[in-house]
Amino acid sequence: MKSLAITIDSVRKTYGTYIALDDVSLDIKAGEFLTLLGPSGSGKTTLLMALAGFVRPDSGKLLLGDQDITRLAPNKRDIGIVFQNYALFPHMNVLANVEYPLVLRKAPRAEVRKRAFEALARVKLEDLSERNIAALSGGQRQRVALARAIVFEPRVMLMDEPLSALDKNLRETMQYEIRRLHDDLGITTIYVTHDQREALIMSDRIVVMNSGRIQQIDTPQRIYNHPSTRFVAEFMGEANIIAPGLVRRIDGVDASPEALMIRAESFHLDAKLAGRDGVALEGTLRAKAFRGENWLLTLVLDGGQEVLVCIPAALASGCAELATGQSMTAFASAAKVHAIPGART
Amino acid sequence: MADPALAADARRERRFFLSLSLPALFIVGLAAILPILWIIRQSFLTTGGEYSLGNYDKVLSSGLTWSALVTTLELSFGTLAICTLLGTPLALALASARPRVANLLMAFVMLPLWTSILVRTYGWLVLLRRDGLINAALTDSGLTAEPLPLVYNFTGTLIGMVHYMLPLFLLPVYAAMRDIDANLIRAAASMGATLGQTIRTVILPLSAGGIFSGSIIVFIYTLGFFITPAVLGGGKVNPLSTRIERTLSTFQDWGSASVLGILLLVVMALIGVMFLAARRLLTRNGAAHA
Amino acid sequence: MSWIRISLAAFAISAALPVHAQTVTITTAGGDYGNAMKEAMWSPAAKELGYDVREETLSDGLAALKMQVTSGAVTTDVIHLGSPEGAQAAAQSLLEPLDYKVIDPKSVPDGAKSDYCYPFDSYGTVMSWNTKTYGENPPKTWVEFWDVTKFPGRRALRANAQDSIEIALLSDGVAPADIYSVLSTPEGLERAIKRLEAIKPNVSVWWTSGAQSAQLLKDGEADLVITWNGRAETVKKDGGAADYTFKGSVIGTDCLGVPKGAPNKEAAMKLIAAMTQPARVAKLTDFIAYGPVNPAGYEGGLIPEDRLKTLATAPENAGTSVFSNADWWVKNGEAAQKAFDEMMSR
Repeated sequence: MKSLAITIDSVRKTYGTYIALDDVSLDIKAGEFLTLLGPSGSGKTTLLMALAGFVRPDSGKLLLGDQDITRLAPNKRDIGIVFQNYALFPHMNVLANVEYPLVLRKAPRAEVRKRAFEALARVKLEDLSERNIAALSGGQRQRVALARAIVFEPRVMLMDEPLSALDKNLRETMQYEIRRLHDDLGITTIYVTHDQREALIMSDRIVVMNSGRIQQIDTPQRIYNHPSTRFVAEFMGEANIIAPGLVRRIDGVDASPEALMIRAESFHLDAKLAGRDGVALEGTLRAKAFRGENWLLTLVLDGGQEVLVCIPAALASGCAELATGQSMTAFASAAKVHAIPGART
Repeated sequence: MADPALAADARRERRFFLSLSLPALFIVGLAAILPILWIIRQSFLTTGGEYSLGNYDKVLSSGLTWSALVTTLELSFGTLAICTLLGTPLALALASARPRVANLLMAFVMLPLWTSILVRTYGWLVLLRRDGLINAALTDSGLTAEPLPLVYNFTGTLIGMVHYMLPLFLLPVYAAMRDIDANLIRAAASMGATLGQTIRTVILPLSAGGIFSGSIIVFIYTLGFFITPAVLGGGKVNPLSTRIERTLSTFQDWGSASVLGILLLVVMALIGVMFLAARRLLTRNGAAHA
Repeated sequence: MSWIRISLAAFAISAALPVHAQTVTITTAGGDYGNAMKEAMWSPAAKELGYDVREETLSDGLAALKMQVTSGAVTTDVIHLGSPEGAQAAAQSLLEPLDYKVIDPKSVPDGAKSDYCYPFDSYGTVMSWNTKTYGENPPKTWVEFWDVTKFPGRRALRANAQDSIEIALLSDGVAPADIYSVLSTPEGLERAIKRLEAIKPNVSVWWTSGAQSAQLLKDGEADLVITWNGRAETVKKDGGAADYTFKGSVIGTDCLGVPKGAPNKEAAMKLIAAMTQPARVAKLTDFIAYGPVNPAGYEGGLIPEDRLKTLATAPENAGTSVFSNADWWVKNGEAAQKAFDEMMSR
């Protein structure tokens, strides 16, 4: 199966005065697993639908390999799509759903059958081929949708929040399986989600979007640890954006930028664990919450800014005894303190 | 062990909700079942007031009954065929139009339902007759040398019936099509289906329920249509309904008219059963193959 | 004042009414004809008798009569029927015998007498034509009406055997006096039906109501229409391009009967007697061209001279006519209609 690179060049889409895509440009490498991440209304689904051909951009260009598909009809794009609600045909059984794209291509009967069963085998559903769609569980439907999207060997695969309807445990299994399927097939995949954990787990690269614009394109690690904007920092997890002036002690940290980002889980209550170089924040405890694997503490600094501090349960033996209103100090090592360019607190 | 007081509460609650259906059941019983029973009784009564199968023998052995039945079926199936050909694409257009446009178009389609059938039928007479608007336009523009025979025949009757039935056919088909998940159509396209293939393999199978409902509505109405064939048929189109009218008005033969009424009822029931069977068969096949 | 008192007052009023006035219900065909009967006949009669007459209109008198009588819910006291229907109703015991002590027996000519349904006016089933199509040279006889090569054009006939089979035999050369004797032979009816079948391809409309036949003539939808003289006269009088002839017309009468078990039987007899006074049946011709059956209606200049021409029963028009035979229709109506319907369905 030959996968293709995708080029998105200055694509713009507006609905009246609402700007859904604001001159978005993006290059996706052949065989890459790329995730579009953002809150609802960020433009990620609009971008996906533009690639699929269901949304016509106002301007800009879409390339599949070196073929311009901007004006190509959706049914000629040869793109596999997995929809949020699966979009399985309720009037066909599992096998007929998977055979559908091959039947459209007028493949010989025996080949259609063989390839459909191969695709079903890939998602471990060959035993349920005669089932009606209504008789399947959510996870099984998801697998049928996957099988149907890969069976005709599309050059590119688009997935629109495919796991959002599944419960947490199943979602984690499917995340792993989708990624494995991608690695087996090597097919260029664009995956849309609003779940940052899912994006971190699955992607080669993540594109964080907000208000129709790309905020940052990077690997999961860099997106998480080196957010380039305050939006990315906050969207990717419990992040504290702090003005350098509010920090009590700074060693080995560049204090010149306008803002520092420290994730909640980067803090220690014990100065020794934080190491020699780093920052110390002093404040009073406003609230505490036990979350199973960790404690979440809310500190208020002198200037009134709140700071979230997350302490792993294993290191939080004293947390249960903490009383709200008592003053305390949180420490973070220099390696966990990131400057955010251009962000104001 | 259930608490008897709570069980009694549950029973009382069920009884109350059942009792809500009583007024409707009463009316249905009075307005639908009693007259049918009366007609069945009439059908066995001779003019002398004795019970016999004489009326059945007389009606069922008459060629007039069967030619009227053939005309009835021709009208019903003809109306259905044209409604399907015109209504299905129209429903598709409505279902794919933007909601505001669709609502506006729907209002236009429904407009005929707000006027009395008699007014509409005579309206068609004005349009279709020899010196009517359509023939005047055709002859004035030189498209035809002679006025076309558009009314006082089978064609005119069919036009009138289709006009009456189209909105009623359209409603369930439109509702079924509007309920189709847009992503199913996108999914089909993404897998390479052309518009025609999408309509054939996704839209039509999924709106089959609506098309069946619409067809049954067409049958229920058209099997008993009287005014349209009477006004637009010019005396040449004589389905069972006009046969019943003649049997009553010219012969005052309630017994034979009742037999004809029962025949109509039986035909309706048979067609209903046929449709349901066909529907079950089709949905089963549809599930197995694209 | 509460609504209860208002409604009680209403009860008192409605209860008081019958004391002052005898109520009688009359059922007519409605339309222009029904209105003419009201203006000329029963309205003045009601005033004279001091009755409160209520009108119901029904296009199908006999079917309604049968339903009322067989269901035992008779609401009408006087009903207007065609004479063949009247004879049929009498045969099925749906009518009370007429009280000829109240109604003047001499007002009906011998040939038209009926014990159950009092004939009061008459009409002709006539040939009418579009004057634009035929100009000065219309068909003059039923033989010519049937001649589609000499007189091409669309025909309109009544979708009923009545009058149609008589006319069919006239078109086949049977003399007016022999119509019913021919029809009474087994081949006679068949001969009439064959004749109708021959013209069938040229019949564009088989009409079902008098109003419809007038409309067809007026609109030029049909070039040759067999219709009732009153209808043809109305179209002509209103400026339609139409004319008609009484030559070879089939004359029928309409009658008034009292349904079996009518609530106000005696008052009904009195109303029939009063509304058919010569002056009143003569007055009917002011509104519609249906002439009196009572010979006295033609006397004393009750009907203007020039109007006599428009009446089927006027002496100069009745010469070539056939008088519809109600008794024949009672005996043979069903068979004739069945043969007619079968011809239509072929």
